[in-house]
Amino acid sequence: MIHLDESIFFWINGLAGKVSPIDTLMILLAGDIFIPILLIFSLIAIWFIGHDQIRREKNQRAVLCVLLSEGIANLVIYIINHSENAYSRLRPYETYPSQVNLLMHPSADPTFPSNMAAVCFVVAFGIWTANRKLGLFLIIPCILIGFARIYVGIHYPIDIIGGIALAVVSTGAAYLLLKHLDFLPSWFIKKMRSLYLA
Amino acid sequence: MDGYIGSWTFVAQYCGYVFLGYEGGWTLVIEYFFFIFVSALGLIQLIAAKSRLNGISFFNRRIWGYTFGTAAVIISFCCFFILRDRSVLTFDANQQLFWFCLGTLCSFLFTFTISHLIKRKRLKTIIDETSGTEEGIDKLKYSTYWSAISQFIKAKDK
Repeated sequence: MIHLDESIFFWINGLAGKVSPIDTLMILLAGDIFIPILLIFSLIAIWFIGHDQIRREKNQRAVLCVLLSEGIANLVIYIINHSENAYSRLRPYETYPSQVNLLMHPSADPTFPSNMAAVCFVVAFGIWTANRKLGLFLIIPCILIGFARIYVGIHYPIDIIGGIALAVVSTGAAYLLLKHLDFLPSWFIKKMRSLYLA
Repeated sequence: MDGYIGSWTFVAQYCGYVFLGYEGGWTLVIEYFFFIFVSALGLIQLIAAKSRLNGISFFNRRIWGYTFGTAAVIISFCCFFILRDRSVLTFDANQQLFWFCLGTLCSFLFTFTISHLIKRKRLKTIIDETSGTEEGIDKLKYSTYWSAISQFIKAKDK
């Protein structure tokens, strides 16, 4: 499994450093700002946009689901990173310093699971619970960021898959939690509506 | 004078280091803040145009809202990413979240205030006619944000 993971990693990372414009694009996509900001802006837009009150409330519940999922995903990553029996694997550029084409600044965090992949996919999956088309559309930038982070040499494919799995689980957990505690999102949306913000 | 400016620069750099853990000081923070502020401003205008929220739009015609919104988002992204090499960014996720929230909040407050100054008189007559018929964000179709809030406070006092 690890062998296959490393083979895929070296195949993708081997593409780096050959075409300069593609490298620049991948650095942009793999960064902590470009795609995450676009995803957060899409969340803000979804909160306010809707043909009618019912549609809008459905979107707003999805946004709250995303926020809760982000909390759960980050908590799980924190526990994984700080647990004594944690699965610890060095970053690709640490294990193979002379073989990896590292295009970005190195990270101090553990490699597994990919925090960025989890955070981004949570947005796409959370929106998918309310709007199937938009949710599927948002998966495209998430896949791009996952691919780009392997391309620039900071993650193995298994880290990205781990992040996606974590996003699925945390979105499911948040969705069920909010379904059982329906009064909480209802109360929050009502309060925001009274302030003309929902 | 130079020493005075120099000491303030040192304080700013030091604060940047202490609060942000970033040795580049405030340069990155200011650039990031304005990037978020301008792009959020554009996003709000796009939302206002799409949802016909006249009360928070700077323009009377929706096409101008779409044009301004799209231009603001594209220009802010281009300026931020072309200005410097962002692959060496040493911005912690928590710091990013803080400045993102601050930039977005300022953008909303700026929009509410400017749209109120521009549209207050124009929308005043419509407010009186539609008072109490709309709730939530739909109220902003006929009223500026600050007018809606002041109406809400007055109604609560009664």
